[in-house]
Amino acid sequence: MKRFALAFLLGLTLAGCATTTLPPVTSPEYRMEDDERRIWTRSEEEEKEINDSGLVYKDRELEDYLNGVARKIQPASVYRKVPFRIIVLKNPYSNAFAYPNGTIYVHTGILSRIDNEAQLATLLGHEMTHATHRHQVIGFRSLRNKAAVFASLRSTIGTIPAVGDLTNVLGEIGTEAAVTGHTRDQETEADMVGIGLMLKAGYDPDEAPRLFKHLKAELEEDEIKEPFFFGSHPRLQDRIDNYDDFLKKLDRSRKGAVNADVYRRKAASAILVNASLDLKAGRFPSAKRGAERYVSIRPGDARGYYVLGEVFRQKGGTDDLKEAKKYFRKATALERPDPDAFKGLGLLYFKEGNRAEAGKAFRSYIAMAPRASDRSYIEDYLRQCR
Amino acid sequence: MMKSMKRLLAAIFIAVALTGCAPWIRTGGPFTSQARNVTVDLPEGWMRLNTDDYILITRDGELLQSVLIEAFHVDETLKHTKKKLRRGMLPLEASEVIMDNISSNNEITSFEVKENRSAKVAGRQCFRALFTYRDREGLKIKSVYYGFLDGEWFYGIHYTAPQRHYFDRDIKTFEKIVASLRLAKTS
Repeated sequence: MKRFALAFLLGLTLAGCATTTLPPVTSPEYRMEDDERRIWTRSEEEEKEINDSGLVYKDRELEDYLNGVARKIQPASVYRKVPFRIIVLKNPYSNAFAYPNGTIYVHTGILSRIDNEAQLATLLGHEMTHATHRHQVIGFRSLRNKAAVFASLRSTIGTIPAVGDLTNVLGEIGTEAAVTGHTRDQETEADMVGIGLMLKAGYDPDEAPRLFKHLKAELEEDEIKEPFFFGSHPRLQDRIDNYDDFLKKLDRSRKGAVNADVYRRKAASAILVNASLDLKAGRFPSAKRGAERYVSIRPGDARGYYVLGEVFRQKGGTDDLKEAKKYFRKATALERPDPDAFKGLGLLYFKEGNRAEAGKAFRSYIAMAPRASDRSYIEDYLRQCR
Repeated sequence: MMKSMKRLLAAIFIAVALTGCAPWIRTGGPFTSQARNVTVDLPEGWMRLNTDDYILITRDGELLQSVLIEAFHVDETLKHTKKKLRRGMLPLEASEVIMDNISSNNEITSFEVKENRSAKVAGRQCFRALFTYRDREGLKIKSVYYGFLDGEWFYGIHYTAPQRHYFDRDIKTFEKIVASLRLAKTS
């Protein structure tokens, strides 16, 4: 009995003391550990929940592009150990997170703010490093009471905008990746290794700190002073400073690739979807910026002007309504007009008392969208226009 | 004798205190909430949560079906969107704000508006939105929401139940509640 108790105690001690330093997957000493294998299996289960939740943004062309950029950053030898896969989530808040098995989720919110492929490479390089340097495995080993920590996190994450709709589907590993993030040292390591990867892939390193400047701008816009998920991390300004220090030491004779045009083209649809998500959440400045960006990329698509018109209509100030009308008119005058823009225009005229113009716009809306879910309102308003 | 008297008094005090704090009260017939400015006929045999903040009733428990009647000032911040209701909004415009608020709730997924039409409640033009979503446990929930503005006050009446079995069972009772609703004072 005594022997059993001693063995049990020893077992517990050893489990509690599992090493919290692990070599990266690129090291010759790398071996996948038993608990790591379990964490990977658990990750796959959690990813299934996320992928089935309806939150995944499906755009084959964008996914292929993102995965193509990821492949430029990491050699095939690393892919054989960590099969990276990039998935986009419909979420207007700037965030991205990596599972230890290489699945990286990127929010439409951050794609909407990124200017070019070089900034995207910075983001992917950072997230990939969390996986290659096994940060989550190390993190999980250092957590003494995972269940209690997770329970307390679950009660807090509902209030964190960066997680948004994911609250419902994030499991233990996802919560750590998306919400609590990693230790200060691990984040710094991911920043520095990440910038090294994007540099090696031929991108312009000057773009790296700009990614974090975008994040900082969003926090300021949302008046978030100390976001939970950055709480234990290097502050954004410190990270920007780290990048700047890194850049000072570089040989600047060769300029790297930025690839702004290709990025804008591939991310255009996600930028518009994100503007609509921002609009729904009442984040008017973000929605306006996203829609303006979309219009600059695809000036011939009426949907962008419609979303811009909606931003101003829903803000509702006197000057806003003039702007709304301008954008709705633009969206209805294009070769392929947007049906919803006719509705927006009709509502503006209707409220002004211009029944003739309202009637004309409402009739166009119904003709173009006969099965619209709000048809009954429009028919009511049309009757009042007669 | 004195001791048993003391015990009796203590028991009566506890009983009175407990009754006074009863969280749920059986319903049936007309009910007026001065705080929410509404009069409504509540169905027999349901239970009402004892609060002035809103009228919440259920028959089998909140998870199986609930009717919520709320009234709030247009300046009040909504929980899940930064958008605001405004005096003079058309029912369609008010429905957009309310639906965006509900669909931005982190606790739900797969939100879908099935139907959104105009209706009348308490003699006022209102919206009636029928929508579905999945709750935190993945259960498919169906809900009907009537909403209207009276001056600077917004009134919302909604019925929520699991789509399977429960929603259809009490929808008629809900529609009767909606038809009976009156404003105690108009603005």
